[in-house]
Order: sequence, then C-alpha cells, then structure tokens
Amino acid sequence: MSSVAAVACPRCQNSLPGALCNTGAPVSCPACESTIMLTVFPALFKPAGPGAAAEAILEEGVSSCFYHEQKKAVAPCSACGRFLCALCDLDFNGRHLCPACLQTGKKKGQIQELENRRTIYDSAALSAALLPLLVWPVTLFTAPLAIFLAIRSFFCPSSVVPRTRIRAWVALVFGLLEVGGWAVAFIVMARGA
Amino acid sequence: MAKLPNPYRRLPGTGSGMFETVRLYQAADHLLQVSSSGYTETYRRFYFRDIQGFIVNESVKGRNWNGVWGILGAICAIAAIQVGGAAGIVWWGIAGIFLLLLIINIAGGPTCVCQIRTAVQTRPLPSLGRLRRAVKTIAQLRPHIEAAQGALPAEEITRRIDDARRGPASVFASPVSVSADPPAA
Repeated sequence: MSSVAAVACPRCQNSLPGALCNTGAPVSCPACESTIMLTVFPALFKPAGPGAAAEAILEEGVSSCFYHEQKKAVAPCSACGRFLCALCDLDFNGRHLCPACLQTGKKKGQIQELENRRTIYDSAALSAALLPLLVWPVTLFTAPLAIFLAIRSFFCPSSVVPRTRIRAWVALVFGLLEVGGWAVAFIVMARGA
Repeated sequence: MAKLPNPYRRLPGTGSGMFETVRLYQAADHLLQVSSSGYTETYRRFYFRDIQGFIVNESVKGRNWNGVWGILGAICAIAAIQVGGAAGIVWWGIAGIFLLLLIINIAGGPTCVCQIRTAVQTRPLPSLGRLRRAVKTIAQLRPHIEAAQGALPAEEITRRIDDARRGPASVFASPVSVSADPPAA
C-alpha cells in the first residue's frame, strides 16, 4: 500500500519528501530546483479493492441472478428490475445497473454521465450561415443548410455545460436573410428576362 | 415543467490543444473537462472520490512566448524606424500588436503544466496553464475533494509519503498516459 504513495518531481523524477506535499503554494524541488506544487488526497493511499465475486446458491428459495442462474442475487437493476448477482451488479453513482442497461444507456445517450461526445449543431449552423459570406455565391447552398442545422439544434441535445441558444437564432436569422436575398435576386432576374 | 438548473460551473482558464479548446467545469461530485473542436465536444470526467492528486510544474512556455513577441516587436519597430512615413506607421501598428501580446503574456504570470492523477490515468489539464490560476483553482477544489474522500491529517499524509519514499515505486514518476479513447465516467 505504502509503496504506491511515493511522489516524485515531475521533472527530475526524484522522490520528494512528504513535507513538500499539500503546501498550498509552489515550492522548489530539492534536487532540480524547478518550481512544483503537489497536492495529494487520501485516494492516493487507497489500495485497489478486490473484484466482486458472485456467491453460489446453496439453499432453495433464494433469488438467482438473471444472467447467472447458479449465483445468488444481491440487488435488482435500477433500470430494468432484473435480479443481479455481485458480479453483474455495477455500482454507478449509487445506482445498481446490469451490464445490458449500462450499455444501452450509453448507446442511446440516456445516461448523461456516460456521454463522452456531443455534436454542437448551433455552432455548425452559425458557421454555415456566416463563413460562406466571404465567398457569397456559396450561400445559395449553405443558407438552407444553416437553417436546417439551426432548426435541428432546437430538437437535439446541446452541450452538457451551460450554453445559450443565441448561436442557433443568429444562424436562423442569417440563413433566412440569405435565402430571402437569393429569392429576391431570382425574381428580379426573372422579371428582367 | 420547470427547467432543471445546469449542474456545471465554469472554472477559470481556457487551454488549447491541436485544433481544440479545452475548458474545465465543476459539478457537485466531479470535474468535467470539455474539449471543443467547434462542432463537437468531447467530455472527460474526474470524480472527486477518484482524484489522487494534482501535479503542477512550472514551465518555460511563457518565457519563450515573451521572447518571441519581444523579438517580433523589436524587428517591426526597427523596420518602422528604417522605413518611416506612411509605411512606418503600418510597421509601428504591427509592433504595437506584438507589444500588446507581450504585455498580455507577462500579465498572465508564469506558465505551468498541471496534471490530474487518478488510479487509472494521469491527464494534463491544459486550461490550468498559468501557475497562479492553477494554484487558485486547486485551492478551490480541495475542500470538495476532501469532502468526497474524507480528509487525512497533514502529518499522516507526510508520514505515509515518507514511508513510501523508502519503497521502490513512485506514483508520480510514471509517464503521462494519453489514451485515445475517452474514459468511461
């Protein structure tokens, strides 16, 4: 346990005395004199726990795991209600989930904590609305795209962090103006012809 | 139905990577690192109960940029003096931009490399690229992490680290692992 708790200077790799940790301010490494700050927490000293092992059913009338008939159930899945053995019971932020529900939740984006990536449609819409103005004939194609992306952003989950809808609205307004501009241009050309 | 308040609070600082900006957010029980490429966001969560420590190391990046902006500013100023006239004004303008960048860089203070350590990975936190900001943010996060893990007396931490110092392994000596796949939460 104690062997994993040693801390070293990130530059010279020399082992540092405990007195240099959690000082709250940068200190000099005694070996290389580089400025460092080490903040450690009790998790550093926590040994890796042993993996869960499912207990076999030894008596009649004991609920068994949905996935392992011979193993004793310890908890129901918080999502689907199936009984789970200690091996299948996945502790997820205080919830008990079975592997299938965890995988489904991740795939469908139902468990926000498992989401690793999101597409930000409002930013894409804003780019599609504004950037092509530099090469304005392109807006004939990009304006409808900007409108589509802006509308889509209203119905798709946005970023998990705080974010306003201003980009989507600006993209929508510019997209509509560009489409309107092209419509007027075509009408004028048609009348001229 | 009332809209739920967003659980994330932005922490100061913006870092940059290869074609992306990196920001750090604090939630009730974890830190969220958001890497944004403009159209997609990638999330990396560090739960307070899993954080083993922060490693901050002062870097020379800031000093190097000071040198770059200073040299470019000086070259433009020399060019402005040599050329003179209307073209000289343009050169003075460019030199002024470099001078402004130099002032901003100096005002930001010394730069650093801040890393967060958990049992399974050590990740850089590019948004904490300034020493002053890193120290402040870590001090701000420390009570939350200690509340999640339970505080250990400073003497106990010192004793355990000193005990381990005599052992062969060193946890912060391991190289930074930058895995391609974002970790599961």
